[in-house]
Amino acid sequence: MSKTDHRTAIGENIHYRKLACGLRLVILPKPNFTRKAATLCVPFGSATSKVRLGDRSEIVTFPVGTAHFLEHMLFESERDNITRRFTMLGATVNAYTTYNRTAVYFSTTNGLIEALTVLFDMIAGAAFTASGIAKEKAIIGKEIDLYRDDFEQQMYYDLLDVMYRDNPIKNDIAGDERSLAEIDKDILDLAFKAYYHPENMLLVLSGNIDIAQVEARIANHPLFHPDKPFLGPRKITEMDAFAPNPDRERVLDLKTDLILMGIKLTPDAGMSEQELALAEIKHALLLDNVFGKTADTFRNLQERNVVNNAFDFSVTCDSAFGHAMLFAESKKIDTTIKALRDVLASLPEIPVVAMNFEVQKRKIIGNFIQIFDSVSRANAILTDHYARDVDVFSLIESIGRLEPADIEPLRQELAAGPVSVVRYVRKPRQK
Amino acid sequence: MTFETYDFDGSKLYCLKTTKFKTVLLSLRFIGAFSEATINERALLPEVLSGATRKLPSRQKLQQHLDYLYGMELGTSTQKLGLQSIVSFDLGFLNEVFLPSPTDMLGEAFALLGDVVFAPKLINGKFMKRLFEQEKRYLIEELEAEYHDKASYCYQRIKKLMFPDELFRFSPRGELTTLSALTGEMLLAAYRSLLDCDRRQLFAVGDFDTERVRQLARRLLAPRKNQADICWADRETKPLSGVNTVCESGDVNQSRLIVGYRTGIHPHDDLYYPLLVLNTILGDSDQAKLFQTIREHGQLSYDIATTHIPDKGVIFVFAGVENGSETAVVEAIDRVIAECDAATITDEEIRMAKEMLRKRVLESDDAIGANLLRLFYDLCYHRRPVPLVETIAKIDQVTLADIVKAKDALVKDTVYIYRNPGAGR
Repeated sequence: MSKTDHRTAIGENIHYRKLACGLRLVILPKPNFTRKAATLCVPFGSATSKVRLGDRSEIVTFPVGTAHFLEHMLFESERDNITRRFTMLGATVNAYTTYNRTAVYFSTTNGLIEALTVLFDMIAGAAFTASGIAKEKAIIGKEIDLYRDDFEQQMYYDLLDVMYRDNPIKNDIAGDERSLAEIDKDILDLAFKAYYHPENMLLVLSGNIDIAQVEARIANHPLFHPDKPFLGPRKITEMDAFAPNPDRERVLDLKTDLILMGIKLTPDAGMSEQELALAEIKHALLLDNVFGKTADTFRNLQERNVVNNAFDFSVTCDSAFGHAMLFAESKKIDTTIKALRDVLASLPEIPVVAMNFEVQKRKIIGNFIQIFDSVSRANAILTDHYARDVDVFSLIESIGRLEPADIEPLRQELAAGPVSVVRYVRKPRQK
Repeated sequence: MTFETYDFDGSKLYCLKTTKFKTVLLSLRFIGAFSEATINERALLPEVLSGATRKLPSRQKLQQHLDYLYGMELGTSTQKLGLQSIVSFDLGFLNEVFLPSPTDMLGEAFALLGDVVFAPKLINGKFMKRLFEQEKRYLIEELEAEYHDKASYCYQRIKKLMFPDELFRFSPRGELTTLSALTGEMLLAAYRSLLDCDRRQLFAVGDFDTERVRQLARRLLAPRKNQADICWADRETKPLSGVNTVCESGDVNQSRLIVGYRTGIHPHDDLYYPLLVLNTILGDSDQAKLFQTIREHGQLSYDIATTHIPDKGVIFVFAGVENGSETAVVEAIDRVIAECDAATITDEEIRMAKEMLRKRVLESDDAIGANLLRLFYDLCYHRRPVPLVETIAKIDQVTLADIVKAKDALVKDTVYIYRNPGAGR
């Protein structure tokens, strides 16, 4: 059993244990808070597509949307109305699927152990019947329809589709009609057996928690004594080396044109998750230096009316992909795209001013401390980082040590990265 | 936790001291009448004021200052509550004991709040033209972009249709039809009026030296005599004559459906807590009757839920519906509501609803912003902070008979359907 107790300068303790059953357990004690938050996650996401099981040489390919389907099916028990059991305990439960994981989470202001028991029962008792599968296919079909009307989400997938040719990051989390049709009981059983094993699980808890009680509950629950061996699934990840597809344009019922620009980044092969997380922050700091609310270049864009308050940017760095994205609304779309491209191209000439850099770091550190005023936000941040094997406190310490010279060399990469553009434009006015 | 009130000749300072949080929250609130004539002014004013002060004459400089103070957060808003318009300036910041280097955060926060509200950057006594035009454009574009989010666009539509002559039809964020005509002079007049006539309340939540806060608050709180009456319940209504069904066309894959009900029940009324329980039983969770019947058994919708607006006393049912199933869903909603009576509401449903409400009340103690909001609403509706146990007791006391009475108060008013007539099966 490995154990780390993290005492930090901001007065928060993190208990981390890898238990004998394989479960990784993270606890943030918040003794003064009433709310308790719990998240259980497994590394099975929408980009978990091609997988090798243990030493076997054959590759298993899951249909697009399998992880999300499985997430829905966890709540679909014939024996037990799971959500009702949570609600009767005064707990609210929900779940989400991202590109790299599936998570079930709940919060409660009553006893934690009772609600944890329902969570463990839910996973231990998961069973997939034909009628349950048919029902969820109908509901997920409507969920997919709902998101088709969500322009920002559609743009995001359009951009990934343009930027990548052969990377499962571009898979829609819920899948589509065709991939939903491929999902059946055998696929769900295999995915469940491969991923919902204690060796794959991470449990993150925050709130007023009795750690010994939690560990005792885990020790005597059947979920953590699986009768089947661990299949040891390993995701096959390859960096997508293709050049981007051509830009994409859609004509839609809009009041303003929308732009999503992507810059492909190629994180160094062999970087640890900790290094990738820091690389993400470094790129974000660099973009903040030109597109942040305090940047001169950004003020210039505002004064020329090429961006408005909706402007936003983000960076993601993973071992198998990396990109920065810029979102803008505009009434003069070509001018805006050109202006954003110009700023990117001029990046190598824009210095990182030491004084501004210190201010950016202060903001990041201040915002980080504030997260711990909310049990749920803290639990979400800890889950994000531990799921990726990132120690968030050492990450913050690394950020505190950054100097302008650490990020300046990245300017070249951002300026030279292939740029892809998705534009959603207004229908021409009918006369 | 301790609560203290200080009166500055009519203006109020409310201090809620708690050591639970690493942050401190200040909120300066101006309370005036919600009126059609000043909606745009009051929506734009906080945007312009937080765009430049005399000392920090651009949004960029202001933001740099906030970032330097470890990510201090300046938030502004304009909301409608009852028949009032509330313009708020909020500052959230880290308690200095958690900072790597010593900084007088409380002093900095009060100085900044005072500068934003009382010392704007003016040129020849007017707001800077460039700033005014830019913020006006941003607001227009934000309101236009609401059209892209179909759920919120449809909500604005049903408000216009269901409340044609009531103040509730207006969004406190501004009205597109008249916003472009707003001038800097009109904004300045609204600013003067806000300073001279609005009631002022300052809230401080967190761990601080109360005496120091009281001293610092003087600059922000001017004396107020003969204050206008305040009305926190919006009881405006119209003669009701049957259900108004409106179907509008849009380019959507999935139809949006909203059904609006009036209840006539407001936060002071006896049936207020029964209505909260009823709303939860009907549509405020995935154990709710509407969710269970329409999504889980009927598979007619992915998302269906109710929203209750306490100060207006209305309930809306929101649903995303497959094109062509709109009538089936409206009928199913009618059936669920018609059948929701003493015979079909189970003890288990009541218990679950009360557990959920209890959880929400208890959790309001766990976030600094929620503490502020609860205190604000308590003072509006009850003129005192209401202990959590008292609110929970009121929820616990609700009986089946009370819930049925609240249900009998529901009057279906408007059905709004937004669909693509060219699509569908």
